[in-house]
Amino acid sequence: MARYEIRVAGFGGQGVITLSKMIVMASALYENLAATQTEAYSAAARGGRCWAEVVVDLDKEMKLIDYPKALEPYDFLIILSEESAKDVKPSSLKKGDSGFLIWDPSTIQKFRAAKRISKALSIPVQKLALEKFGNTVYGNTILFGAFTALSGIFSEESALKTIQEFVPSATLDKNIEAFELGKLEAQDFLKKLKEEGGN
Amino acid sequence: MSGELPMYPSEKPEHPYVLDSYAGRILNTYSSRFCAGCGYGIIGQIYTRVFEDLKLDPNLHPLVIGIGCYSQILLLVHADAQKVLALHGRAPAVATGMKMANPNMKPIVFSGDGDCLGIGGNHFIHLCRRNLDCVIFIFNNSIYGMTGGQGAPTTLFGAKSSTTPYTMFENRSDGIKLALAAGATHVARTTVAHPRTFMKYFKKALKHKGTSVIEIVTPCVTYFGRKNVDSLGAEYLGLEGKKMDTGGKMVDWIKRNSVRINQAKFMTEEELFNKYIIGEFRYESDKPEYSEEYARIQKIAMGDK
Amino acid sequence: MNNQNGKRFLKPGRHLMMGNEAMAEGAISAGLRFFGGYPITPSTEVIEHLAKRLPQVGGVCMQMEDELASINSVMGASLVGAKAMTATSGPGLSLMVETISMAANLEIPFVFCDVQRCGPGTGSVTDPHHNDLGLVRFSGNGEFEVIALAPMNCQELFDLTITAFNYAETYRCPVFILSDAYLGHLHEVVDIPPKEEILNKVIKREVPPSEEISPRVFSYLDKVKNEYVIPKPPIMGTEYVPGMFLHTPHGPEGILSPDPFRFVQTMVDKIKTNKDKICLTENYKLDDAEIVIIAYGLPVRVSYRAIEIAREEGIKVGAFRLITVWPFPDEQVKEVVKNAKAVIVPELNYTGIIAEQVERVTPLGTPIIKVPQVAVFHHPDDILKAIREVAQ
Repeated sequence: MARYEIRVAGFGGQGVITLSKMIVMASALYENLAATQTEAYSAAARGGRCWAEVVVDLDKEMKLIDYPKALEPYDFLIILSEESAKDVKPSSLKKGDSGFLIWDPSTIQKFRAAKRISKALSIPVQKLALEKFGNTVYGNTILFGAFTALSGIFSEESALKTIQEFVPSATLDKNIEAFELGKLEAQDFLKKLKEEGGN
Repeated sequence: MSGELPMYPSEKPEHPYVLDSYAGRILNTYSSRFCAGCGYGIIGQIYTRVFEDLKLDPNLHPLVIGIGCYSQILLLVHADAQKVLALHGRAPAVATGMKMANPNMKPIVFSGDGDCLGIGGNHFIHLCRRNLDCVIFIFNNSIYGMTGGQGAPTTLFGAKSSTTPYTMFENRSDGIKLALAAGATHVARTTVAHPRTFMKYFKKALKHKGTSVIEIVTPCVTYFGRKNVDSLGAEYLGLEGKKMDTGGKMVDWIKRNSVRINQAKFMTEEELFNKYIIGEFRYESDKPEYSEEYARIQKIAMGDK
Repeated sequence: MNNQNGKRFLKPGRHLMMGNEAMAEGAISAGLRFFGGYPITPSTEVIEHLAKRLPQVGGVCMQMEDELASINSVMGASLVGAKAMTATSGPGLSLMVETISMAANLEIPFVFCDVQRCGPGTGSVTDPHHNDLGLVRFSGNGEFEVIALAPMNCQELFDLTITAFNYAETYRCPVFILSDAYLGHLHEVVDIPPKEEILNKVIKREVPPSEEISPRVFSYLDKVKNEYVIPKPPIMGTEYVPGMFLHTPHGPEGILSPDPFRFVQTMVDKIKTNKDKICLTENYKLDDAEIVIIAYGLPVRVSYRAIEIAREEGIKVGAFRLITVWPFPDEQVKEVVKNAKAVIVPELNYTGIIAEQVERVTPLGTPIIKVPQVAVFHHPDDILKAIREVAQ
């Protein structure tokens, strides 16, 4: 048993739920891992604090996630709105190999806790998506790319299959570009972490 | 209805429609359980008669019966007819389920005024709205007979009943207007005093593809007639009425109190007050029918397979 | 959705599904032909999914004008031989009980999905709360028994829906699937078995061969064998029907019965005497357990997590899971709690509807600890706390 707890939080409409669905699909369908995804529902999913949680069991033998909600401390946090950033404390994340935080400085003005989290990566997702691809929806794929590279719970191949499943075929190329962008950001960040660790 | 049926030891009557009825063929009782002067016997006989005349396939014409005095008609209708007693007011919904699960069927719904316009009003409206292929009868005796003569949505203004002891003051609900507004495609009203017209409408309804609503005005001597006078519906004349304490008097009153649809066009609102307008109000055979439309949707859903 | 192919049986293998969709797909696999429903959060996805899927397989999905109409149309469809189902939540169930009671009387089989939400009244529509069980087991006026199944993950929502349809066909009583707002919206992988495997399991609705048709179409007591005979459900539009479907106390032929006592006895005992076949349960690490957790539905999963942690601490604790919540498996529970040091019943409600039943069969002196929770389901720590307390 090796639970991997993921929480995505932000505004409704930012793609919080889509992102979580992409994560669960990549790990459950293409990596054959046991996984669950739950989400804020209906009215709660619009505006305010929208959230989605994914639990993946990295142990291939496991068939069932017992407790279906993500338990604190998390392995991976993706925070996309100011309001949901307020809930985050340095203790919300696991120590050790995992315990990543991705947040979006283009939607969050102040994120004090992030400074005290060693593995916090800030990507101005919304801004990048708008500037490079002309639409904020690509922000999702950027995040998905970053998640894939940082967490490493599923292969890049599974991630690309998932993208094909989720996005309209007309925008597939652009989405893959966005995915690569996110992946590069994450890889740079990992390199930096390693150097810091080395020093 | 628990306990034993009253067994009338009368000798076997020669009437074929009695012999064909459920009571006659299965229970050997040759009698109904209705009060003297009740109109439901006529309705039961007409159903059996049409069933025989048209040689209806009992497998395709399930009879869905609501709850009221008229539920007992199930003893008088043809023994071959497949009958189900639905809950109070829910017969149209049950018929919807039947028709949609087996589109070859054409359910026939028996319902009363309280059943159809009171508790089941919503189901009735939506049955008409969908134009689902079925026949629905509203037996209008303007009273709740089974529970002992309480006021119904159809009780005439000024009439007395056990829950309107100081006369009825609410507006009357008109099943026909409701059906027309809701979109039923065959709408007619008749009375038990016009059995041949009733048979004609019934036969037409069986051939019609869509919702047929037929309201039948029927007498209830025990709870309506005995408490009310025959000047109801003729208030504008200012006459003093007589109690309607026999079936004959009530049928007479129903005849007098019903106005043909063509005649009604020339009458004032005052004259039509508390009257029953009888006749065929609508017959549209080209309107889309629900189960056929659903079959079309199924084809779309199935694609080209 | 990627997991549709327009056919009754999905491609065998892993599919990512929402709980409500898994339930709908399970029903289609079981041969669902008619669905009558009315949208109500949190069960809406069932009708949404079926509105898309049922016409593809030649079935009918109708959005009726209200819950009363939904359940009555389901009954009508079941009367003419279609496997039928409805789905709703607590307030909808309250409206439907009248007809459930009638269907129990006429032994009309159908499956009822109850995606429970927080009550009473309108309550909180998106929160899970196992508060309908009390209503389910006495669903309607009169005395009769129902069957209620409680799945705990999406796979079981699929599998148990098929079981529920089989129970409905076999025992001819209302069968409930007790899901909840959380489970209904959970996304998990459902492993769809091959078509043949499902078809082997499914009991078909059909008219028995003509030589087997007897006028006795309703359940009755076979006095020679002293067991209840439950004939196949009659189908209107065929020769296999009673003289009339009369919802008064009736005998096996459908005609009114002079003996209401025997009629009610049959309605109740046909289920009670078959308890051993109906009651599905599951043991989890019970062999050496001193502390027993008894749970159903989602709290079972939470218990498993708590057991995992408690066992690491050296506390011998196991779980007994009710898959069939109603009828309550007295005998099995009695056996499990016989030697227990303490019994913990985590339930997603305040009163502890099943805890009451457990109390009934537990020896005096054995402490029973309820772990109630409302609107949010238990954190493993809630149950752990109870375990640690009794372990000391």
